[in-house]
Amino acid sequence: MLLRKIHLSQRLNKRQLFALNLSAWPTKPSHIRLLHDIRPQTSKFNAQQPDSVPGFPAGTPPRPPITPQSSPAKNNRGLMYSFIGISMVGLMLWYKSKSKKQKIPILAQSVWKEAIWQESDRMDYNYNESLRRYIETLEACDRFHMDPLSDDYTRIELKIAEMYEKLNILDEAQSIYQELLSRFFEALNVPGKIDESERGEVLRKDLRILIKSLEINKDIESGKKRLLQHLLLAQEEILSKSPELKEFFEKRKKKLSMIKDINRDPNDDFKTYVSEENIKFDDQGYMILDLEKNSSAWEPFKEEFFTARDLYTAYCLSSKDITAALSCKITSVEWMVMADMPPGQILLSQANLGSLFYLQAEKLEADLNHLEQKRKTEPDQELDMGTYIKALRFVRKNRDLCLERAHKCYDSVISFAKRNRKIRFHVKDQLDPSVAQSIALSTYGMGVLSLHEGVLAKAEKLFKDSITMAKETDFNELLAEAERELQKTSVLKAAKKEES
Amino acid sequence: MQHHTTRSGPKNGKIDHVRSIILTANWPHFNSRTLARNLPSSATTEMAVYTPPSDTNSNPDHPHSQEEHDKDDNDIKKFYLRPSLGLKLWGPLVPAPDNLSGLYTLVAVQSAVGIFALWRLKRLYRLPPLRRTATHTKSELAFGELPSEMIVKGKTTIRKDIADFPTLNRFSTTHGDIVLAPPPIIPRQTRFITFRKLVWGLFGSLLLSQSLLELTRLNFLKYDPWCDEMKSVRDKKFFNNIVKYYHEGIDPTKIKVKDAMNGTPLSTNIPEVKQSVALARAQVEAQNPIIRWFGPLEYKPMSFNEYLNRMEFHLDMFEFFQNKRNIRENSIELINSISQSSAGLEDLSECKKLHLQNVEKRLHFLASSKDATPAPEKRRTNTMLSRGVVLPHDTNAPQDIDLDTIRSLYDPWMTLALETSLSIKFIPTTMPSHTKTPTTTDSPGPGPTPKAITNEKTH
Repeated sequence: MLLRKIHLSQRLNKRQLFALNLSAWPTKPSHIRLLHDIRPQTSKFNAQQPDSVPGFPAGTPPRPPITPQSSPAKNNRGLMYSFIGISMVGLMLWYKSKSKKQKIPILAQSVWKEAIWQESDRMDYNYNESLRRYIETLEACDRFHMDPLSDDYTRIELKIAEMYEKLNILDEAQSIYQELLSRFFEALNVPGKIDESERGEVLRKDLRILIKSLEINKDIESGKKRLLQHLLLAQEEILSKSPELKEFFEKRKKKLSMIKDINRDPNDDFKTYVSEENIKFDDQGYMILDLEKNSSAWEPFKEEFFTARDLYTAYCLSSKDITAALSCKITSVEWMVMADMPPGQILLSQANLGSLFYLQAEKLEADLNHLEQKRKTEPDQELDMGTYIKALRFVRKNRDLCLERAHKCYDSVISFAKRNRKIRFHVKDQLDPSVAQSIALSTYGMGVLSLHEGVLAKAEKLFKDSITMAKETDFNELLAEAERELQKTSVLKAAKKEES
Repeated sequence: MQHHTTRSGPKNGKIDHVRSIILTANWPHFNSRTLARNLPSSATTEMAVYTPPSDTNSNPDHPHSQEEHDKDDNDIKKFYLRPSLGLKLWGPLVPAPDNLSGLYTLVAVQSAVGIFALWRLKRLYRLPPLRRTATHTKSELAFGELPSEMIVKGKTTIRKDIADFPTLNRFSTTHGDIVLAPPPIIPRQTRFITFRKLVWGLFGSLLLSQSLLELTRLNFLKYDPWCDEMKSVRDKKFFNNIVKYYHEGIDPTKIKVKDAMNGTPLSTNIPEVKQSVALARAQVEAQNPIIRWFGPLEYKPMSFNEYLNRMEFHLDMFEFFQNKRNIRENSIELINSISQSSAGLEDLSECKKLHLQNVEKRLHFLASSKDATPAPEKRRTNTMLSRGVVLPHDTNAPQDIDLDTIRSLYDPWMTLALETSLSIKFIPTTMPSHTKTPTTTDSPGPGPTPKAITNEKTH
């Protein structure tokens, strides 16, 4: 027994092992006393390492010092506390992330299941009954005071609206969308109501509901107003994350002030955005997105955002405000490039911009005609010749400019497609139909421009081209228009022949 | 893909020259959101089941895998370290900034190592002092250091009252000072221990402080440019992959496409099938553990400077907008408090009013339909509006339904996204021009010819 102890204590020379052994040592006081009872207990010396004192015979085993017995226990306790601390922090974090996703009460869950059951193929799509169940689910949620902004709550509401729509009760559906819309809008506007990191997602939902409610909506003016409000909100969100967008606004401001100052032509700096510089290709020649361009500020709602902007453009057109539509679309195209939208979308937007320019040109031409007619009807009545000519010149200049820009837009799309083999020869193969559609639309647009100029042969050729393209890509709307225009052209051609 | 056409939209929208505006839901109008919903949407018409090639293991040297291998080699060349604040020590192992579980794992491991280091340090302190004055109670000195009075002329001495040495010669002349010949090994050991303590201490505190830094980033930052960037890069890569796989086409020897409904094999040249397969392949790639950990390999994160700039910019702008909103809110409250006299419904916000209205309407519906006890109305025509819910075969009662799967498969938000994905086209038509076309029989008479807007929606 003693021998073993001696053996053990020799090992204690190794300092690094010492503490380890200490904790493993059965720390019975009597046991230690056995080893140390040669020395007086009161002496302070007993802690000293014996082998450090000269005069001690070399082979003498060193005595393990008496360490306070509490120390291993203390050590353990410390470890325990730190573990408890860490797990507490972990729990808190976990709870924090968990609490965001509010669970739907069990009672509501079972009603919800029944609603799905009624809605499904098993019950032969019984929407009427399903709607009732969904309404009951929502009531249950209300009773449990669920957060009306939470995912599940809004899901049920959307489901109710969908059921209303399916049962053809459109007014009710619309009013649910309105409520959701105003709730999101309010939440987004009240600071602190939505966690900052979730704003993007909420905005996305808001925009989706906005687009949906506008589809049912009949009133143009109120729709326009609402679109503006929500678009502005989304724009603020993007602006708060994108220094690039701020730069864009500053540049535009500068440009505007420059125009005012020098009164020079603001038009030469119009440029199109469909080019190799803005659209990236992979090594096989297909259009892809640029991973290096940082467009994260536009995420996650960029698609909804641009759809809403397009809708706004359409609404502006509906209220005959072509100028507003035009400026909105010009900005849209530029922003789409900034946001790194899918290439097909950019192409289509550019082609659409061309159409808008053409519309503006036609409107100016109508104005011109109006002016001329006015002069004819009232030849010498208080009409100042100077101002008249000035106005005429101004309008004409603007019209030519618009036509030129429309030409530029269409041309940029067409020549871009021609430059790139993969698009040129495999239009039908493109994954995104909007690529082919934008090319067809541009070809058609060029035809319209030629017809406008009176170059009938060219127009005819272009229309025919666009008809084949539209047929290939099932672009039926364009097909109808192109055929009509082609007919017009041939009629004109015949008339011309007769004349000559 | 079926094209369902509904006509809706502004009815009184009449324009002079716009002949038609067409809204079309362009379905492969990608981005992760659209893509995600593409697959289920195609389920109604033809659900293409993607069966990954089962024989990939048996013939590992088929050209595709080789090609990928080459590609990987290229990618490794331009692999950029993933950014982080406190995990820099991990070098190339740092996960993508949006990979939260990965980041937390590394932080946990790092903290554990840090705690271990500090524990080692603490243990070194715990060690019984090698040569120290007999008091083991409290010492101001670091372990291994000798009190200054013990060093005499470069030699280590121990100043001790001789009376404390019970076994020594009381008549010794060296009363007080005991000169020790320093053993050759021990000072080196003490120096070594100091060094070790220093290393453990520095190492442990460095690791822990780094972990803390990273934890703060993960938990207290509301806006993290790196994370946002990574998310958008993942989306873009997903899109690019779909384009790639779509054009790569399907090798019929590797992939079999079957109709989900009846299991008949489909031709692999149908665009819809190609789309679905490309989508599935892109999804498989996105699920690849390496990609999930690191994100797209060729992604180059923004520099730390830019990170800081963006953060600062965001903080400024956010505060600015928040203030603006606060002011607006306050002014609204002020107006409300002024016009408080008109109590009742008008006091409520628009949202609350609408809510009350809707609740009433719903109650009304419940009451009316209960009275009528309606026979199950089948409106099959309307099911075309969006796909109906098809339950799995083994559900026999409402309570068998797995709410989570149904909710993710038929997420109303997804359905809404699908419905609101429009592509708007403006198609111009020539106006019967007054100057160039004096007489045309076909076209309408001169002057602005209003035509209704056609909003066409296909999905």
